Amino acid sequence: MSLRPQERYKVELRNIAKRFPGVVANDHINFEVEAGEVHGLLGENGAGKTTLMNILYGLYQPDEGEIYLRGEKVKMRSCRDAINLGIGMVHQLFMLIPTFTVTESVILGAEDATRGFVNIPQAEKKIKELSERYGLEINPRSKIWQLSVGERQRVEILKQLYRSADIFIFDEPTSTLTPKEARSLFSFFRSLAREGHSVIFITHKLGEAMEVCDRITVLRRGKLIMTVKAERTNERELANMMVGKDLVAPIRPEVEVKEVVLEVKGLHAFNEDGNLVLKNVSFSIRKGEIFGIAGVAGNGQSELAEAITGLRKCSEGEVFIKGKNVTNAPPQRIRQQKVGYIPEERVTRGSIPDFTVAENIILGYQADFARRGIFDSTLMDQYVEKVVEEYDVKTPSIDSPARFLSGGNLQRLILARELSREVQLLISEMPTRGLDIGATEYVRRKLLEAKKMGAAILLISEDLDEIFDLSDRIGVMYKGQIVGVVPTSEANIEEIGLLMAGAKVDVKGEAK
Amino acid sequence: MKLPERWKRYFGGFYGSAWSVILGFAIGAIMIAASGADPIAAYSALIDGAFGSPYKLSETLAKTSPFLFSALGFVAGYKAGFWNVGTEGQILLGAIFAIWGGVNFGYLPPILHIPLVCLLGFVATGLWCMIFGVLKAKFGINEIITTLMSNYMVFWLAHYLVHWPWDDPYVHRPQTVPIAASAFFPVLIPNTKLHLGIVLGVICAFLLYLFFKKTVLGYNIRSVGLSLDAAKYGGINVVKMILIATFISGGLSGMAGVGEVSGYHHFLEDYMTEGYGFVGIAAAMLGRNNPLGVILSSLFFGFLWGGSQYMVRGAELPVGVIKTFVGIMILTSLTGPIIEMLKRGLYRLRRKQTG
Repeated sequence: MSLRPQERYKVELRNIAKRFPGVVANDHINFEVEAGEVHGLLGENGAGKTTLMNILYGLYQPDEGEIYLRGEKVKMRSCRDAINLGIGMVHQLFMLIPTFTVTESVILGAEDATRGFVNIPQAEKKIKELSERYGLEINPRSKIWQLSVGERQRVEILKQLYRSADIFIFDEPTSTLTPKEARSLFSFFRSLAREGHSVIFITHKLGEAMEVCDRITVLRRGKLIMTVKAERTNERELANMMVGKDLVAPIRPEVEVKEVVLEVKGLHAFNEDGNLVLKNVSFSIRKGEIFGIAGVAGNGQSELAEAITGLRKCSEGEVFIKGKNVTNAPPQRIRQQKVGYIPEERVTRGSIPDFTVAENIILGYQADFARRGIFDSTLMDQYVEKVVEEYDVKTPSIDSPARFLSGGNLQRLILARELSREVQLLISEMPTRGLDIGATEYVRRKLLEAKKMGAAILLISEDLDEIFDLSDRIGVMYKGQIVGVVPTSEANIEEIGLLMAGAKVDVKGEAK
Repeated sequence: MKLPERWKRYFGGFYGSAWSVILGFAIGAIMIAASGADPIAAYSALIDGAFGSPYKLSETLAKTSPFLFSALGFVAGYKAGFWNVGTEGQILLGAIFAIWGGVNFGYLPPILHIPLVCLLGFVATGLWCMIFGVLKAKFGINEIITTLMSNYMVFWLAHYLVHWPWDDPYVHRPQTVPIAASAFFPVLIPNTKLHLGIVLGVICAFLLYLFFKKTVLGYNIRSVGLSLDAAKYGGINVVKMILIATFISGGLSGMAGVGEVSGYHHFLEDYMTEGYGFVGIAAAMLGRNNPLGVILSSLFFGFLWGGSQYMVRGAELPVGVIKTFVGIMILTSLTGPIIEMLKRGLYRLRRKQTG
């Protein structure tokens, strides 16, 4: 891992072009990363960030252009070559085997075997050293399934360190972390940079890029818009460069708070494995109010949405919509109370990929488009054409399968279905996850419009900025319980973050 | 060439099916050549045997009828995500009820007796198949296992009836007494065995097509088959849909047996409908589980079934080779979805790379 100081750039991509049928994913990009630098790579979905990094990681061959590493021209045929050249990539989704220990996971694919035997204790020692040196606290003997998301990410990072990588690519690493975990990841970035390594940080969160990066490169539609020093720019400028037009942040309209629409009292529910995942959850939402539920995924938020919409049986407690008891009512009856539901799983729950766009748009309301059980196709097509246009769902035709829609377009379809009729209550689960800035802004605007029309909205999100921007009140879910409810005006992001991580865990952490 | 979107949806899948048929004939040709015969002679014998004379053609169509019904039965279940591999037994159960109804209500005029027999066969088999629907929808028991096992239950029931209580004492082999003439399906072409069944089958295919395309019930059943989670989300009563689909599925399969009794044999004996259920499943697959596509694929299997018997004489092939040939065709007919899947996988891969 010796550094040759005479070379300024550790990574240099010269004039890289990559075309796929119908798109230019990378249009002659020149991209350099210095040694000891944290370099942010910003861009919307489809801007070409991932393609560019896949080229650097040897997964794709560029159509044109050259790659220089530490001043030398290289040609990579596979990611095996990239790994050997000291490039390590930490993917958004971890590929770890739950029953393996940390050590086994780290050395997988890089085992030093003597006569076919792997020296586990020696590997363990090396991992311990690395984790101490970089402040990546972890027990090498824990099993993967015992670890939290943040700890699993540490395993992925250790894997790269173990292979002596000195160029690190992080693909949207903070999307599943709590603010505290994100902060410790950033300090790790800095310590890597101090040791002379290079870090490429792919993200679409502007605040994070500004916080940790030395320089930032913005891509848009396959083109490099510019590379800039972080101290010489601001979030607004970056956002405009990413999107290519001026963005107006949605403003939360103040709505006079009126009668209670949803009331949840002492709700308990079990998951499929028989574990209690909702414990005594109580809250209420008024007309025109957005109640945000923050929390790290898997703390009971999905189950809460399911329990309210009738998709999960509650073992105890009650749910009222406008004073009407709908506890454990069939989903159809709850829908009839003008309840809209935007589920987190857009592909498996919110839509049927093999159905056409039209068939998907009537899902849940199919009986409204039929006379005596037979579809009135004129009525249906008229309605579908109207909302597809209104919600700008980009599809070749309303008869093409929903399978072909992009993530943002699929979410528009779901919004079109759930919001194009009068809604009294809207359950909205991670509504902007994985969407690009344009689509995210669109979804948020639609939620605020629904609020203005008088809908009570339950907003479940992991994105704290989103929760703070949209909600009137914020509740935090941790291990199946609502551990705190505060009006947004009195909330602070640190406090919410601590609650999300579980207050107890934190006390212990500070005691160390 | 770019097909209009609607066309592509309706006919796109048939490319895969055409390829599987070609694949089957190619493998068959190699096998026939390997066993020392001339594939071209064998295939001309096959075609001549199926279509060579009005009589041969009528036999081919008469065979198409049970295949069509059992394929439609499979399709009806498949749309709800229910893999009904019990069609084999359901055909036999339909035949049993056709015998019972056909023998017992001889005093009725044909205009009443024929519908009664059909109704009996349909409802009884439908209810039988619904049992496995309940087991799946309520208790999560895998329908492939239960329906497969159910074939044996019906087989031994039929065996018992044929050998003991219903055995025809005037015939020196185990078969049931014949049904009353008033329950005979009308014959479409005089002096052949081409009966009403094929007409009913085609009508059912169109009705089933419209059912799935145009009715709310059909839509709900398809949702259940494609995505249980999304169907529940859409407020659809999943259990009810599975029960309705299994009833239709079993009933249509049972109609295959009714047709064989009322239209063709007029009695029941062991092994009379052996293999029809499994051919029906293959036909459903080859027809891409589209009720209209299934008309064509059943015709194809009727052609194979009818014509292959003539290959023995026409190309001097041993019977075993012919049976193997038909088996290969059944197997390759299942490859259509695999070909489609490969195509779709390639498409996804290409999409992913652009992201």
